[in-house]
Amino acid sequence: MAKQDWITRIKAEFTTIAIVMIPIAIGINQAGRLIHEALGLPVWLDTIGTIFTAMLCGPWVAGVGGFFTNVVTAIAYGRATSVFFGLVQLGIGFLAGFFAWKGWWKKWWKVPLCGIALAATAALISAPIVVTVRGGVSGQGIDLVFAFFLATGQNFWTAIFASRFLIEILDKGIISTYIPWAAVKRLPEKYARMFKYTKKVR
Amino acid sequence: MPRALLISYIDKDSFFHKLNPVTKLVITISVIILIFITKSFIHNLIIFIFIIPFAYYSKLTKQVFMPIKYLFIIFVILFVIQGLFYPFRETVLIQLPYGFAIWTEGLIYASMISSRLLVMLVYGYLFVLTTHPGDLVSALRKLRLPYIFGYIVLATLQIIPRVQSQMATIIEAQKSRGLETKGSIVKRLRAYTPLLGPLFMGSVQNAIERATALEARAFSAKCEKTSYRETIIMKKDKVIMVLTIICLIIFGVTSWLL
Repeated sequence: MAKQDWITRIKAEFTTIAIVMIPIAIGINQAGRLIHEALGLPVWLDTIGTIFTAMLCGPWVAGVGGFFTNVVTAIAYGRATSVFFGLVQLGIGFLAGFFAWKGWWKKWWKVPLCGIALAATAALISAPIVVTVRGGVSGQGIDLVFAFFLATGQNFWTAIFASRFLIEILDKGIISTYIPWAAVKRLPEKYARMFKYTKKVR
Repeated sequence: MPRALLISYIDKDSFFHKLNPVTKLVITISVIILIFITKSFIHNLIIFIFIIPFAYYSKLTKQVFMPIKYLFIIFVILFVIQGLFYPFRETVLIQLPYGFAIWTEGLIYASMISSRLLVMLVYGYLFVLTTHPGDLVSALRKLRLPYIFGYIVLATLQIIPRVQSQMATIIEAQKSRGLETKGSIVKRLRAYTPLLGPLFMGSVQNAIERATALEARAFSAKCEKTSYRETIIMKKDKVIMVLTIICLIIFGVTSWLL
């Protein structure tokens, strides 16, 4: 009986508006790349839509949305490897939604703390995936940091985790959490009441 | 301007195009499982060579090999980093000045990973080239997967180009209002809010409109829904699926024994 309750509760999270939010979140994740190119800072914004959805619709919807970001990338561009990295997005979406459920986004000073937790999660999940799938290499500037850590004689796993964490912290610690949070705070009331989790964030 | 629907599907009349998407998915997943089982990159290269008849029969001989271009940079970095700094290094292949060296184990590891990436990307690309997303969704719905997943995949393929053009408009509009996208890091960090704020507000509005439109078409009604593109699992699909799994087992076992 208790198990049944769980499933119905999760199903209740997937209201029509929440389901519609998922493709839009994926679109925002992809649009983040345009801003990244325009500003040229090491801030990828590739999870910003997932985090935004997490604050509006909760952990389950955001987790599914995050995972499907990479599934759709795989279908659209034919990059099978990106499906594995969907687990990172799933973890981030779920955790950000969990923070929303707990009401941890309410205070402004807790936002960067949650961001750091998200960055650490992203590094923890992506490190083993990047090692098994791509041998620790991602073809971007992060590889230089990784090589630097390896060259200074760090342990392999320390090197890969530290390089990932360093590069995630600017993205998830500040921009990708603060801006969605500010947007949810300023959402007009007539829109905000259509989403379940806005009460717990504002 | 971005294309209306972002898919790499190429319409051709071939045996491979006519297979059920589920069959092709089974083949692709088996190949991906197989390359994680194999122990040496030579096995992976043999699996890679098998793509040639597949590509030939799908009439897409050239396009299938497109992802190799994208992989090239990754291969270079992979070989440099792993060749120089592989953590489980033992034997020196070439001694370099300043105490650096190229290690045999590192190069073996790098070739293993790169052959894996090569196989995964090429087979994944073949699947995408020969399968229309609509067919894939309808085939997966036949397997009783929740239709939410199908909606997500198809709606996203339409929304991504739209959001991207919206984003390009926002960037242009804010630049014309004097937004600085060049300069010091602080200046550039400040630019994020005026760029992302309108995107979020616009997307929430868009979501509410879409939800209303979907509800008007009985999206959440609990009845059997029909789909525009129909797929059937035929006898040849079943035969090929069984053959693929037998091949997976045979290849997997032999690659362990050899």
